[in-house]
Amino acid sequence: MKREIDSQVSAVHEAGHIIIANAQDNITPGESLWAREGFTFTEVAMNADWESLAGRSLGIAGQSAVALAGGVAEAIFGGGLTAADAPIVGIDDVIEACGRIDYELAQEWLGMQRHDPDRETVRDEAVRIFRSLLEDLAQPSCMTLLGSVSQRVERLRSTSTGDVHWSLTDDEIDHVLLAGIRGTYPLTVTHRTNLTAVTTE
Amino acid sequence: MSLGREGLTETGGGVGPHVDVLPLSVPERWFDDPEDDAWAFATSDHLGGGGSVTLSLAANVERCDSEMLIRRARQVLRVVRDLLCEQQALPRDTYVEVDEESFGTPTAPGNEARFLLPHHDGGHASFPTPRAINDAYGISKTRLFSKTVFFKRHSHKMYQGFLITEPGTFPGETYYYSVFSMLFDAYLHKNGARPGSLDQLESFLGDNINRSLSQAGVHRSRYLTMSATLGSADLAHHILPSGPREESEFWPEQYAHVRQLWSQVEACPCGSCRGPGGRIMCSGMTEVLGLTWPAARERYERKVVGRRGDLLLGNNLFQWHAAYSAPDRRICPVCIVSDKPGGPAYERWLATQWTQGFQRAEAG
Repeated sequence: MKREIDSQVSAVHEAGHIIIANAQDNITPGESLWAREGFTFTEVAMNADWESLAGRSLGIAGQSAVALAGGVAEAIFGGGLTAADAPIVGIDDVIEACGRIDYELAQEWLGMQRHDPDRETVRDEAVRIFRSLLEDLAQPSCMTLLGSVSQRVERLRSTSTGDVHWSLTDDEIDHVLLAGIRGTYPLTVTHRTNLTAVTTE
Repeated sequence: MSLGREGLTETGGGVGPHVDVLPLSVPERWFDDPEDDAWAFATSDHLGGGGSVTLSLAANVERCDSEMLIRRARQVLRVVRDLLCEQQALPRDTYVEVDEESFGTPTAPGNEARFLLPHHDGGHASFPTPRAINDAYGISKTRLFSKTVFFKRHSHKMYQGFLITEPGTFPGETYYYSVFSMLFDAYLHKNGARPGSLDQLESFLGDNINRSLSQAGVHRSRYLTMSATLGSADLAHHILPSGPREESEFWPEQYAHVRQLWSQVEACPCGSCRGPGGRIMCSGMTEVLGLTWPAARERYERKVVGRRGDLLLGNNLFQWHAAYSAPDRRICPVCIVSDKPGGPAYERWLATQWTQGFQRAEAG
């Protein structure tokens, strides 16, 4: 979801979210929405055990990847980034491509791993996930998929001024699963093993 | 013996709708000789009376590393908890919860500070509730607002606090707001008359909590917000931004499910609030109190500027607290908590809180 983008870019942005949501092991995607107010949104649910450290980490990893994926798709189509550009992507690029709503969503999820994590740690993790997503979504097979999904959504949008709901077709989901996208983007720097080590006495 | 402190900055008076903040020092010798405990009785009395306390834990803080300060905080909390049980009817099944020292303070993109909006620590399981006898909705059976996603633990945090181990680039400020004062005024604003009895005010709170709980599937907030507590029916006011920071954005799912949020963040009633979180706060306060957010802060807020080695303690259920701090500030959160917020002992403590709080709000 991004506030300041036109309809063509919105379609690409949301296609990035929904493709990555369908590829993540611990995320169950729901419908996507192109709202009458102009924004786009994809419903996602975690199928991870929040009460366990391992489950919580996997859920957060999935949510963070989905949150940043719209910006990655936009950077590929609108910004011309390729997989080769991944090593030079910095935090300003991530925030600009994702927009504040999606970036702060990822920041919120990544912060869940630690109490008041320091800003640099969260930024490092977001940049690392963004780079990995860029490597995956900039593959030719993924770019073809992003293009076809976004064009279908744009066509749907042109038929209505009200809310438009959509989701990937079975054929598109098959293409996602065969496109070489990682099923998880594991956390590294924001992951702590003593997450619930709270002293009680 | 002098219990007072020099140099603590506060604003707001000890009367009126403010939370009264008492600055105290724990004498150095107490850590070796626990007999010298007048500060502890003063702390218990003041917390029991609805105030907040700022305790300086070291006369020469430069000689104490963070580990020593945290050890001292734990020692202090144990004594305060015991006195609260003995003198203020705090249930015996409460215990001290000491978290890990934080690593810093995340800010919104483009910001070098953050204003943390008013909240209750562990708010998914810690918020003010009516007594069971005045609970028409079954809220008191669990006193739980959400449980799918939370930071660490499900404990019901009755008193919250934190030790400042590193103030950061600039001294952080902590702000307190009285639930009783604001709830009383919100009742007056809505009904055009003061609540005629304590029961009426409790029922008003119960109605407001139930409204937010029953719509949780729509607004998807994990915490009960200040505006929701005070009775706003607009679901945009039931949502906290990321952080929850004044400067921050809301989650995509909340924009998608509460459509008026998309347009409400574009402006606020006063026209001066920074960021989406602040603007929704301003809209909510205008709805429930007839005051913009800056005006509500002016009326209800009590400010404390904390120094390294200060331990700030307050009632987590009947006060909200907020903070303005630098990204490199470090704290160690500490609380006095219960795992079972119910039963006769809890209800006795709650009855005392309500009775005294209502009297203060009426007088204020």
